[in-house]
Amino acid sequence: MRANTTRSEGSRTVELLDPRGEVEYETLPLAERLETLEGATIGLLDNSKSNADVFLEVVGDRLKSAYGVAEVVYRRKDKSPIPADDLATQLHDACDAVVNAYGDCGSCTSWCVYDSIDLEKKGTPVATINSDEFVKLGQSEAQALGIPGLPLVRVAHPMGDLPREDVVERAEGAIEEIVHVLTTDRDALEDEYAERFLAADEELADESLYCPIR
Amino acid sequence: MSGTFDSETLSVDGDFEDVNDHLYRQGMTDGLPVIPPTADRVERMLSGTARPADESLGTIPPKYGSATVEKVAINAVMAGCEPAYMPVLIAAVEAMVEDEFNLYGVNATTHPVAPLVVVNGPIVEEINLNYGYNVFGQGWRANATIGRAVRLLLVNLGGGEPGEMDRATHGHPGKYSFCIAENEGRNPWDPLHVQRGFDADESTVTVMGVEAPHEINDHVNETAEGILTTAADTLATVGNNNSHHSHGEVCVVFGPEHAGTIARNGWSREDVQWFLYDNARNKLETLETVGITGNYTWHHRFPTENREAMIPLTETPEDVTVIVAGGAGKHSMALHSFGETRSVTVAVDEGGA
Repeated sequence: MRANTTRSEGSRTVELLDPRGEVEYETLPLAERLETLEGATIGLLDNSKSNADVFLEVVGDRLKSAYGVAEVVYRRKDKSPIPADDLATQLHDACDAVVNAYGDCGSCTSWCVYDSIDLEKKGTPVATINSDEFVKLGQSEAQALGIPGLPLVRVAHPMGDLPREDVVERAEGAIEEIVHVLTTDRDALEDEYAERFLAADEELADESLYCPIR
Repeated sequence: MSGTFDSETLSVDGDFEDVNDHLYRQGMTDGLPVIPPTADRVERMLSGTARPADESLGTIPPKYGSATVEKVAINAVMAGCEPAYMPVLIAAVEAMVEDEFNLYGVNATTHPVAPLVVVNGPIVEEINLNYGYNVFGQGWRANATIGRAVRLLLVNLGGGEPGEMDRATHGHPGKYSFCIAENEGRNPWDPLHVQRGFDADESTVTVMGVEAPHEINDHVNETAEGILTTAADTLATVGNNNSHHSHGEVCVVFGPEHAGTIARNGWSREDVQWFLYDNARNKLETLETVGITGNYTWHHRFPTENREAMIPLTETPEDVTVIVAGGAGKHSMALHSFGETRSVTVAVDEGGA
């Protein structure tokens, strides 16, 4: 409140130049999804974050035991804040689809989403796992990288500092959605996931962590 | 008002305070008041460079907003820059968008990292950049506003609004402004730009993605080895990204007195780098039990059963960057980096409009 500010009748309008950068999104389609997981080879891309190995092990086992997946191919990035590059190429060459775990911090979400976009552009469908704290970041990045409808499978945050049984439980809880995003028609998926988390401000804003500007 | 700008016009009713309130609430500031970027001010700012306003210097991740010279100028106005600072800002953007800087990671990460702008060459004198006392602190317009403009660019072009696409858990104070000049006059060795192949009379900007500076206090040692042992011990902690990453650099900003003592013993800059490479190390056993072990595999590249083996912070001695800045006093500063980032040096294009 500026109680001492005096205003002339009809305050003037100040014209400013917008400091924000123009963003040109080149919107690309998702890769074609699989008709079935029966007999498929599924890549498991581990970005080396804590418990991603456990999460993917459970996902791989369940995909084989319950959905008829023939084989899983596991690759682990040396570290999270870099692109998978050659590993992504290997998974694209060897697999029908990929599960990518996960984005649960800032730079690891950036490069996790980048790796998924890289694979989707190559034609390999991906189920991308983000923790709920970082899924809005992941979706913003997917949009900036050209695939706003990248299906992000949300798990609880944090994924590190958890007992194994909790990681197993979260992996099992994510299985149905992972299968859904790998086998549902891509147009339907784009409709389902585009803006899904960016539009969910209230649901995802945790004011114990994020202090809003008032 | 000139109609020659590509940027949209924002119309705000009211006075200076209203304009500031609007920009603040839209997330376009650093929280401090800004100079309203009117067309006449932006035009004046553009007089500091011969580069065309619509030239794109690249895009700023993670949002990938286009960094045109015009957008640089708008944000420079807001930060309080003089037009003569434009060449430094343009160079800083050109350096940050190089792939090896990994701005896509740096501008989104939970890690407390900010791009530090280090300026070398004649432009330091020309625009009165501080290289001496309180070099990381307040007081000099060029340092304060260039660093501030870089942050505004990361927010307004890169989408780096805190809690949105900038997910720093804590950030650090240098995220308001983080710009120094090297104290070339008191550097007994070759300054940073000469180390990197530029002529001494060329001006350059180096960006490095680093944590806040950490004190290296040594009022006792009177030898190179003594001071550098203190520096090595300060660097070799485990709660930083360099301890476990493998592509990172570290930087030591030597105060002129420490640098003078080290050089008096006949140590070259390369000797300093080798000493820090050899001595700023952590025990393998420690790396396997603390810090970010498990995520990162740097120490796994040393196939040894010896739990006492000492693992360096960097891959090579050249990855220990040695610069000199600051005033009198027996202090230096250690800068750990984000780890997955390489510092980038580019020439400053000093052609004025």
